[in-house]
Amino acid sequence: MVDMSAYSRRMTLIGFAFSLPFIFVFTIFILYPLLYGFYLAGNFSNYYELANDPLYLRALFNTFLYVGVGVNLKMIFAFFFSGLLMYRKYPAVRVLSVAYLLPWAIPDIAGILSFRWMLNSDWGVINLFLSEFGLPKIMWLNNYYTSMGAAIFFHIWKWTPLWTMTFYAGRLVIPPELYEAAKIDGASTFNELRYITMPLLKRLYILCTLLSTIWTMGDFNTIWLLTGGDPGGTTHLASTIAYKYALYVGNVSLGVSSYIVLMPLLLVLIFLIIKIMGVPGER
Amino acid sequence: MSQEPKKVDRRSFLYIGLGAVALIAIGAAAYVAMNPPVVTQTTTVSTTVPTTSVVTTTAPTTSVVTTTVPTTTVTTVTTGKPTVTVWWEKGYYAEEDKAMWEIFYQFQKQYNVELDVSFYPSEDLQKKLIAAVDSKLFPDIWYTRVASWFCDPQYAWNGLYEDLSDIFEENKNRYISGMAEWASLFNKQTGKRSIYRIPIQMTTGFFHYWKDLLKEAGLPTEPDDIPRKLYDFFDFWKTAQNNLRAKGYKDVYGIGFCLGAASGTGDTMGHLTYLETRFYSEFINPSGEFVGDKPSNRQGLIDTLKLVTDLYKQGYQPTGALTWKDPDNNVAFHSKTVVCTPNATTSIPAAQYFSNKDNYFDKTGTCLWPLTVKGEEARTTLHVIGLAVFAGAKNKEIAKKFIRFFIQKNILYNYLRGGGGRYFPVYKDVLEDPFWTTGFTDSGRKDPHIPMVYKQLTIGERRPYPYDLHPAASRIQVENWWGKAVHRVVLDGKTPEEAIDEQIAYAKSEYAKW
Repeated sequence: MVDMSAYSRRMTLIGFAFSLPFIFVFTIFILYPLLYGFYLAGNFSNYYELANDPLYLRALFNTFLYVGVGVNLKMIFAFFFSGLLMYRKYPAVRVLSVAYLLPWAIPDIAGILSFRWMLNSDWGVINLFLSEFGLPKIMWLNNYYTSMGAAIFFHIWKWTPLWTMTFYAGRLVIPPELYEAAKIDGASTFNELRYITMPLLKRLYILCTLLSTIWTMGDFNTIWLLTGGDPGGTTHLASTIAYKYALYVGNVSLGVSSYIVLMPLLLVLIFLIIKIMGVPGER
Repeated sequence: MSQEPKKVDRRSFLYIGLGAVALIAIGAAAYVAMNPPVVTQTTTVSTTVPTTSVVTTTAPTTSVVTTTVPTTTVTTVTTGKPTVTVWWEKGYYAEEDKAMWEIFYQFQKQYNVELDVSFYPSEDLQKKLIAAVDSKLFPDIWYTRVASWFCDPQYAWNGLYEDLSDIFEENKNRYISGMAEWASLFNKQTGKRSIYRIPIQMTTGFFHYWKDLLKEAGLPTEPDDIPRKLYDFFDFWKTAQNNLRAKGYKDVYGIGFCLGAASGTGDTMGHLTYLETRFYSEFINPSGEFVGDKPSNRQGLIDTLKLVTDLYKQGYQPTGALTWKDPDNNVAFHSKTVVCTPNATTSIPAAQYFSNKDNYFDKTGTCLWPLTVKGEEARTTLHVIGLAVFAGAKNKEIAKKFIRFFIQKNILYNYLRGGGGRYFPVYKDVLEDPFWTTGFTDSGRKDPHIPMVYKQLTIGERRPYPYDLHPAASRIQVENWWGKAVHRVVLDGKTPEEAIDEQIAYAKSEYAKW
């Protein structure tokens, strides 16, 4: 006769033994840094200093602007471009789709520095092009609006292909019978989009938007390499100003505090992702 | 019914076995991580580090060095000798690192210690130092060029540094003037100033220019022929640009001041700090106190800002200069976008020396900064770089021995010569060497740069770079107040008065925190 309770105990022990490496890694590389981060951010005078730093408040505003505009435009473009990829039977679409994916493949630093040089007001290719048509040179990176606009543009250019591929994969699993039935019923292309594609991609779209929001909030390279926070320190994001506090000013505690302010928002986003993903097997 | 003792089946045995192996592996990895294996000196070191004795000749070297020096090499030992941790900033040229390796080997041999040496790029070393201070695991010997403003004032203030008055006192007759002012920092724990850093080398701002562009512009090319009266000096470069534009050089600008406002853009801060003394003004005095709000200083700062922003608004500066970071004026110079540019080291001619000797000797020149607005020689602002020791370092006594060893005349000379004259010594006996007054020679051609650098460093009174002297000043340097003031005038349409007053208020708020 099998002793189920002993068996269950043994299996629990075995399971625990196998979990130990994960627990070890999780504790050392995730839990400890997280708790240490909270410890560093525990100095409340930091928050007073941050609240009185106009450049920090501007950096928070920029973060929401960058994420809000950048992520949403990127997702909308990705959604529609993924529709274009469905027409890959046409050679032109196949060629375009390869070219379209290139920005994603280009390393961050090479892409950003090239873009920075293109925007150079003295000898950048964009201003040379404008001057060929007798238009005045624009000091792209000397102005807050054009600098932030350039950073958001670069972000969209760089990351739209990734999400396009994700939506394209989502579109491929929509049963074609649904579209055939809709066509028989006389549905227009717009109605197919509205009543078939959008409802079936809704969860994927929201999930991707939330994921991208979290990743984009931590984006450092684009601003740091493109504007460096200029003009006048007005284009910093939370991530770049945190880096400045920690590693330029040498105040790690202030740097951590400046970014941990975003933690409640990130936790809400993570909670939403987990909720949308749901329990396996349930819809 | 008696129950048979349960057997462990094969599958369970396998699971338990695998779990045990995994645990042992993790335990072993953790043990190894905490106790590095004992190894003998790596062959990488012995094959790449020269074994010859320290060179004491003063004859200039003209060959281009292509020696490969390892970026990071760790030496761990089996002997009972103390192991001393060394973090050293990588040099700009291979020769500099090569000279440093020789010095480390000599020290090891002479003091019977083992050095665990790691070379890092500047930014990486900054991060390492922050982590070291945070974890209280200090390096014994360390050096970075940014320590003067980035670490020293703050760490001395917080009592993290060892008092080095004894070393300074032993060598006080060897220093050029002004070194005690620079080396002395305030310690809040003891409530007094003391010597917390030993000066090693110095630099200041220099004006480099293209002789061939001046010739093309129909202007004199020798430094002695360039006007030194303040406004005549800048008019000279304006004329150069005007003449070149008239000849079809449509993308050449007269002057290349760095005007970027990004955090940590040291060149913007440096260029305008050198210029402010031409108006008898200072933002921070040599004791590290904020004095920018004194009426005469405020007016001088306004005049400095006006001069630079007018040059920009009149079109004599590249439009992109507002976004320049430290290397960008070098890039603009090398690409001949500007006729002249100031720079805080001789990195511009040194790069030409190692890549194109004709450019170095014939086509580029270095001239002195202009005189003050009253026609007098202005004070020269010295960037001094030195060595400090953490009070909590495990081998701080050996670190102090190393400093004494390193600042010996011949040792220091070899190190500084390895840097191609990028930095000059602050020790009179080392500075007496003819190299600093004659520089390099090549097929009878005289050096047009290094003798001018020597002249600039020694021509007038000297003052230490003001942002090296107080933690609040360091913070102001990081925030790049000069860059922000320039941007407020050029981009936001503020008057120089308004922009300076804003920055005075900002500086006061920073000082109020300390």
